[in-house]
Amino acid sequence: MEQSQVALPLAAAFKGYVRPSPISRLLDMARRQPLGVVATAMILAMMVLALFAPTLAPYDPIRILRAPGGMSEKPPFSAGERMANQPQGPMVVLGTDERGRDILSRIIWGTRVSLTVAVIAVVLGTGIGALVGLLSGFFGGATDMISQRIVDGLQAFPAILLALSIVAVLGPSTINIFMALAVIIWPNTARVIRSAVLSVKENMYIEAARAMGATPPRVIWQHILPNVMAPIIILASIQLGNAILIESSLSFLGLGTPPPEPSWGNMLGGVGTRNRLEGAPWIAIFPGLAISLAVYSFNLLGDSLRDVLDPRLRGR
Amino acid sequence: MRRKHSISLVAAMFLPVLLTACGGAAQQQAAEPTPEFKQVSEVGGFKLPGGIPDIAGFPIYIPPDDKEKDVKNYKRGGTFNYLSLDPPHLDIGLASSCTVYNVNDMVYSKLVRGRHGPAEDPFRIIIQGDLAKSWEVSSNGLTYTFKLNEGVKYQNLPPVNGRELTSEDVRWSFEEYRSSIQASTFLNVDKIEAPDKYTVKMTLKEPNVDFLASLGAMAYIRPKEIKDKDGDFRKTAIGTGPFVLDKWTPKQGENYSRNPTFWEKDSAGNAMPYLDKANKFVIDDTSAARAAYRSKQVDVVTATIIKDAQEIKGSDPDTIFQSNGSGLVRGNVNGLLFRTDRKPFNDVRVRRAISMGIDRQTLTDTLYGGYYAMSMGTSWAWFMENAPQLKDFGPYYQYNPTEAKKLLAEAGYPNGITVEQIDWYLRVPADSIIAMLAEIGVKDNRRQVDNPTQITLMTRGEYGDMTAAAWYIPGYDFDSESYPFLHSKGPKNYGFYNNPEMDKLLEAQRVEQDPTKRKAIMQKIWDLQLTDMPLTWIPTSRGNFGWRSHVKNLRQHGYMGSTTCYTTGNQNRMVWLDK
Repeated sequence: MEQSQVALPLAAAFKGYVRPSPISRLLDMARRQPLGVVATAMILAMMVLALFAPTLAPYDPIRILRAPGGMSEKPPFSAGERMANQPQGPMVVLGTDERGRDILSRIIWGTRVSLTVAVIAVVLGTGIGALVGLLSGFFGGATDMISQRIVDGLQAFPAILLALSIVAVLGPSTINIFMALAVIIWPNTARVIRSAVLSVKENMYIEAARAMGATPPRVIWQHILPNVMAPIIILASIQLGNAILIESSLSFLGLGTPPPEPSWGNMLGGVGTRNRLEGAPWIAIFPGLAISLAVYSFNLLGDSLRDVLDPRLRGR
Repeated sequence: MRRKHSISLVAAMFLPVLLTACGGAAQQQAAEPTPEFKQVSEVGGFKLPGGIPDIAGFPIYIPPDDKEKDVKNYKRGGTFNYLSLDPPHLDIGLASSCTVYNVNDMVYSKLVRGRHGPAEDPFRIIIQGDLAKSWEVSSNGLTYTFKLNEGVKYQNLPPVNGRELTSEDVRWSFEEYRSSIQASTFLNVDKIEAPDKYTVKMTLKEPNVDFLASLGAMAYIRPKEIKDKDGDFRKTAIGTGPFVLDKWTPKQGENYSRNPTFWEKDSAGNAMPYLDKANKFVIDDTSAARAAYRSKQVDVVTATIIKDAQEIKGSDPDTIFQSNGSGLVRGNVNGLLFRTDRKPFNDVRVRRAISMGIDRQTLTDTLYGGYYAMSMGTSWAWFMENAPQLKDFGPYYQYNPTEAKKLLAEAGYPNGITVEQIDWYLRVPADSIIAMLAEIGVKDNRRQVDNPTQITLMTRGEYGDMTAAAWYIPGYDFDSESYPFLHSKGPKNYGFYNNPEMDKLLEAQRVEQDPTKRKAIMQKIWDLQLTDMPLTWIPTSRGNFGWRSHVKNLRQHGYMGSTTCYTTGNQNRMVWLDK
């Protein structure tokens, strides 16, 4: 049968079909993934907080607020700073810590640290892991064997222990945390991407491309990478949550962002925080909540993206 | 469906947490009563240095209870578990940190020591014999002749092997100290002789009324055999003291057992100490230390702020708390020591600027709930009738960020400066100080290290531009609290401070015999510290030292310290457990 004999009935079947606009496709996706919408909204809110921290934070995060009798351990919704000849400062909505610093301001500024560290570490780690996975899966042989043994070695260590060791050796600083987190993230990514590549490279179009003379870099870049982007994106979004958790843990242990610069982890890890858990629990609870919400949001986002992008789950 | 359940579960988790956070507020509103400050001039019949406030429920002095009053009630045996800090080594000639001091005080003896115990004056240092059973001072005040207790034996451990202590040990130990951080104690000593086995004769160059007190602070008598074997006293401690050091595990603690050949007996002729064993635990983390106390792993606890002490009393009502007296009259580690031999702190304007950038009132309100003590390392009580208040410390101790910035600009730093600070002692106010200094344009790159590292770096002068002040306790006299730290040749002058005027004053107070004139010199030394500022002092908390009620005869001393710091052996020799 000639192609035109097939095309005409098919064209008639699709007559009147209007391709949905990107916005309506987005809205449709949102309807099917309401939790993804919630997660996205929360993450966007965090990004806004991080970007506009100087404007949104009611107080300088490291400043000790002053008032007669001090502002230490004021509970949520207490009156704000009161200095002589100055107007009353804004209410301390989440209270103050043992040093008299506004907890809300510190959480807002801490969002910057947590998100920055997480995003950079994940981009770095995922980038490295994807590259290793692509090369390892595509070329196989000695490349695959060597790289996967390195991955095995790194995965043998518990993640937090490995991060701790790296930061302890290099010294506590934000840059060293990026590196430590990237070292934790890339092996897992490499493993998953390698599996995806092994599956994709068996497709006929890959063989066709190679038969037409495409070089390996071209095959990887133009044919394989686009088809493994979905797992990369899903992994990255889930790893963001992990990265925030590990960064907070390192800061809690004093190996992360050095105080008095606020990060959620060092807010939890302060000596005053732990000592005052009974008398002033809000000092620990709010940073803990911030960490929990951030990690939960990223995990939710990762789940939703997986549902959307994984063809086996699409339509469920 | 699964997602909806997960949302409900998460909400169910978050909501109680939120409620707790906000509900904690309501709890705090129904607050514990704030302990009252009460000015007292005497406690237990002892006259206090002037103007020290006592805090209801957390007294400076606790008199002996009925059982403690009579030695017939004392029980023998048991193990006392206490907390203290980790020493970098055991040599008191290298560092007089309380970590090193504690071990020495348990294991070694001195020629004389300060009286300590529940019935003793909490603020006066009254010297009594230790190894010396008696002494005579010549009429011109230049010759001290000590008669030693006979038959005092070293602990039976190699290389000393339980031999008898003699006057030669005393002579040798003191000569050793001449080239150590204790050198200033012996600067005025012309000759040290051991004319016979139990007599030590010391001849001074000039009379010194505080000489006995200075010997009683930390001049431990150590056996030569250790130095011959090890080259120093860093790793081994074998003495004639009440306890034998069984084991030292760095970063964890020490284990001691009663010295079976200890020479001292109590008033009823019973052998001392009463304890079988004593274990020191190193627990740096305050929460962990508190947990150890609550789980009865240790018998003592410290509470920096009153609220913490109240909470502990609430959960462990058998806790006795005594207010930390030693900070009331004299600073210890609560100061910023400047490296004055190089930029930027070779310029007094920069030092003053730092001092004026610290809002001490806010610090005490915020960190200590208003319960604080303020002094310099040199105690005011030697020459003042009443405790100085913050306003009495002069203009450079008053918070004035505008003036601070002006001083920095005049010193050539209009855009501020960055300073490097390495320490451990100032960890409690560190964040607050960093924030305050940031407001005047000083970026404080503080690096926290552990206690042994702070000691090591400070004694080597490798601490950056500033660090915490150190170890004015346990000097038992004005000279010990000033000369070693402030004289250009002082062995504890870790800030490399060099002021000829200060040197002259310090030398003058050593030899001045007239008490009134000497006090006037002390006042000048005090005033010069406030203006020239080799250090700047920060208020310290009126912390509290607590212990289980079954631990008897345990007390702090306002000058000599506590079991945690500085009088471990002196205290523990008389401690007994009522269980």
